[in-house]
Amino acid sequence: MSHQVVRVVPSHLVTISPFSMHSVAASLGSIGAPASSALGVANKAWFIPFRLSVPVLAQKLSWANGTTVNGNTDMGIYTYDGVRLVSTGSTVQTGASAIQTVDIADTPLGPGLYYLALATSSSTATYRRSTLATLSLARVLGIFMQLSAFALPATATFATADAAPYIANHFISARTVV
Amino acid sequence: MDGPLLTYPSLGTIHPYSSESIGAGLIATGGTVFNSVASTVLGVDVLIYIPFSIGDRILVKQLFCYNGATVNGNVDVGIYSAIGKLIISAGSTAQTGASVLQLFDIADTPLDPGDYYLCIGTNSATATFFAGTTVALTGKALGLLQDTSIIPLPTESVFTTYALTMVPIVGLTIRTVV
Repeated sequence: MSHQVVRVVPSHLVTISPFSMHSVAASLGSIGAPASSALGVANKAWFIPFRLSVPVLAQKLSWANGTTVNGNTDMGIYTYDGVRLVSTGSTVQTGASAIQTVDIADTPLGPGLYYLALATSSSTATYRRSTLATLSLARVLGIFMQLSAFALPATATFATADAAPYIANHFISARTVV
Repeated sequence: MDGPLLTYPSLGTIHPYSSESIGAGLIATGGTVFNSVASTVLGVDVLIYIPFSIGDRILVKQLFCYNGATVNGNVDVGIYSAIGKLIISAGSTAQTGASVLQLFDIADTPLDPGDYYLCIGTNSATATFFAGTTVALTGKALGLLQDTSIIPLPTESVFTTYALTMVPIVGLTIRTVV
């Protein structure tokens, strides 16, 4: 019997979120169910790392709204060097307690390290998110932030997280159906 | 676009809870989850070695530890090869900053794919570090080792059986910003 190894690392699921094995989930273990809460500060972008071992075609970006929707949201994908590859652009947050999906230009992502970015223009808009116990834990995970980053900038300036480190439920979809 | 990789690239930081290290094993065996690590006395005259493996070449720019509520004395952190050769270390450094990450800027150090150890030690019996917990028997199974050498970290380790219950948060980053 002969075997041909065609892939060592499992193929990616159709979604990639902070709670994927491609991102910080492997470190988090149990962090509790994401709950509706504000991200804290308007115009602050959070950047959460994820990695790919095989090419993925990003087709849609989504986030889970909380019970209070307000203002605008922007979500995007950045390279290791902080270059924005694609983003939803400033988008009115609509649909309380629902997934909000934005169709983006199909964007090929090769193997490598990237960042999921999320920012809101509103200090009261809520999202389904989990909370890290301490600021330092966000730093250990390689999470960054940027102030005054709404709409998401073409080039991010990754800065050390400075406050409550939230991990929102937001994700890339490699399918047209979410 | 690059072709498929045989492994996931690093997320940018590597620490005990990383997928490159023993995080999955710690959580699977009932150890402390990442979000619940607590300030813990490391103990004097003991070095702890935490294994990790990488499948891609990385350039290590900084090392870090997560100081606990009580800082005292000196600390040293470093990276060892699988056979116990010191590759890079911070050198004995005053422990500074309670309950925050302490960063150690090192000479940029390339690591090829392979197996390595993160190492930490202190010369203080009261210095604390944020750490997860396990039990000694499980720690052995996860590949943890220790050493009764003192800091600064020795050029060659004297690996001995792990007989502790703590897994301190010590790590590396491929970035200059953490």
